Amino acid sequence: MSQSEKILSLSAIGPDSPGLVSKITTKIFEMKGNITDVEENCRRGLFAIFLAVDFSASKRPIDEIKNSMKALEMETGLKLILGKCHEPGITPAPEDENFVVTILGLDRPGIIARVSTFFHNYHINIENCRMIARGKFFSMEMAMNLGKMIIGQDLSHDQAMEKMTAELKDLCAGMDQSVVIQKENTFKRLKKIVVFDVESTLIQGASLRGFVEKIRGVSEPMDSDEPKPKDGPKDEAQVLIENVPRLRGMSINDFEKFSETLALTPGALDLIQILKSMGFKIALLSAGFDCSMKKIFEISGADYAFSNTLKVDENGIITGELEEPVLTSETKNEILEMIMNMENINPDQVIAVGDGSALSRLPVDMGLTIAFKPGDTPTRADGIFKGDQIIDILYCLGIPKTELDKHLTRIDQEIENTFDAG
Amino acid sequence: MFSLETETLKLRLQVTRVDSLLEHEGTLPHVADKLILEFKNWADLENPVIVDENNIVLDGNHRTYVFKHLKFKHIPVCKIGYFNKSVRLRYWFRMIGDRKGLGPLKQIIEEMGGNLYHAVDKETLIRMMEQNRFSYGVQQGNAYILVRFQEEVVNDAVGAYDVLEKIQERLREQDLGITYIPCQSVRDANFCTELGEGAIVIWTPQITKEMVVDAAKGDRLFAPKTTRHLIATRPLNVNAPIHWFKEDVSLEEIDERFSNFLKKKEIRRFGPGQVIDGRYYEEELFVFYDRR
Repeated sequence: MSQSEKILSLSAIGPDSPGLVSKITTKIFEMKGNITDVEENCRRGLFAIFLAVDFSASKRPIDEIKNSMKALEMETGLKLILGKCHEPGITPAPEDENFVVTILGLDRPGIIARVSTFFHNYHINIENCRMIARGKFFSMEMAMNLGKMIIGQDLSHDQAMEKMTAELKDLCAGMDQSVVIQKENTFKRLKKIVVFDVESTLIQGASLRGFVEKIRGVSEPMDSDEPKPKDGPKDEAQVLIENVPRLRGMSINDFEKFSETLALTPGALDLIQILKSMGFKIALLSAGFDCSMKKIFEISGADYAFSNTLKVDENGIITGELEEPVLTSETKNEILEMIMNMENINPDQVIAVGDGSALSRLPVDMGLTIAFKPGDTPTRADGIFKGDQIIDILYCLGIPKTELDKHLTRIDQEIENTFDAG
Repeated sequence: MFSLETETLKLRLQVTRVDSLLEHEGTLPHVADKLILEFKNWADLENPVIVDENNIVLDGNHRTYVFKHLKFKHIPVCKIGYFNKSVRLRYWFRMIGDRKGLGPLKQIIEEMGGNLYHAVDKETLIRMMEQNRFSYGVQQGNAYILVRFQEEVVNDAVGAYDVLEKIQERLREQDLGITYIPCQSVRDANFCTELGEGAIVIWTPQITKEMVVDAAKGDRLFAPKTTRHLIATRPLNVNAPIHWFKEDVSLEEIDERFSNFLKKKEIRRFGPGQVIDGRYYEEELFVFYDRR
């Protein structure tokens, strides 16, 4: 018998009880087996374990080993399946073919079936799958290997990847699910900083539009307001900057009252608080104005926060100009680069949250990019969040379930207490 | 020397001899001790000390004290024109925990020979303080009091803050915690509502730039946390290797090295109102960082 034939796979499943792992591994040790791989799980009172064991050091015949192991069924109440494990035949997939896909949203029947069928059709192997949340809210994380993915004719590997992820995003959008696709090696890389594009994430879109309307109400329409036929959709930052001249002659104190219009996205501060408690640094990038942003910057406890500064004369009257250099959607990228330099970190240690347009200007090698409510504009972000709950970003960071539950329970408790107090 | 210039202010970043610096304010022991530990072990000095044309330290009294204490030879400074109107002198007010009401403070002031006068509102108190040099204000909610001492007790700006220091010591003996707040805070519309019920604020005596210069040149120190200089533009994140400033080299050599060091860095300018490393800056900033 060849040495490789003495490598066995052992799967066991049954009701959980104390000491199961100990009983199984002690028996393996007694038989002079060496465990080369193991994965064990307990779910809802059920125990499941998978082991690969090398018995080549054992002088016992393989059948005797199998029979001894099988005897564990009586002792433990588990159902055991033993098989040959042809390890030399297994060639590990290249690391960069491993991906982590997180799907989240309100639960509904058929999500897992449709997603797994999608991967099956592409010959993508689901290597690991864990449910992070199940109830009204659903979240599932899957480790995938794309080594044998079907690549269509005339497509390069990268094009095929792009096509597959775009289709997956569409599939999830059709089920009202958010989806995040990350390379496993980047997913596992310790992230250090989370950057939020303020206008598209922390501030509610409707309140921002109200704020801009208030500014527009200050003066007569300007020539530049007239929509130009070839203009595409303007980003929020650009709209804010373009309306600054309207504020000329207004007292800064009066303008600050406009800022009361701005409402934060529900859960945004909770998310920042949790991220900070986990050791992330927080950076906020805004093309808004310092006097409107100051309070948001303060209450968020951000480590870095940048916005535009309205020029004000010595009598506190706005001149209608911004202090140079003006922070635009374009220059946000440069500031992010400055922060990375100051923190001595690489792009793959950065998580960037914004809408599609804000993220499209970021370097391609960010650790994780999440488009929060990006609308219908196509985005190359790793994740697309359709829902209103910005705090769900936590589900995509590989946080152990127990820790995640601890944070979310505390937030729920605080909300409950607020209602009780009210 | 390395220069940066804005419409209102010129900043000259250079190295100077530590013993040429003139401090105008005392230090808080716990802050100095922490800095001593940091400078003994840390690799870089994050920000240069800000000084005027006469090397009077406007921002960085603790760093200067520690450089002198650790016997450093040189120190990086940012030299500015103190009497430029974009450099504003403000003060630190004191806030006292609210456990015992006004009683203990009033008693201490009276025992030290101070007189208390009621002011009907904030504006009246501001006016009264302008009319009475080296006087103090006390605020509890919407109640305002002016405090004055006889000339034999308080006859100049440094003396006024010395008396305040003694008042603080006596308050601390009664286990009353004291925190420092920027003087502008009390002008905020929401300040009274945000002020904890019963919390007391001591408005510190108003001083001028001339008084600061006189004190520094006369080798007299104001009490710790007296002045708060708002400098329109600041250099940030310079991060110069600290060990350089211990080396026994000439001033010209170390200054040139520092200047070349800065030239290799990227600089990004920001308007006021940014947060960097968790601190909110009301000033315009020149942020230095390394190219990678």
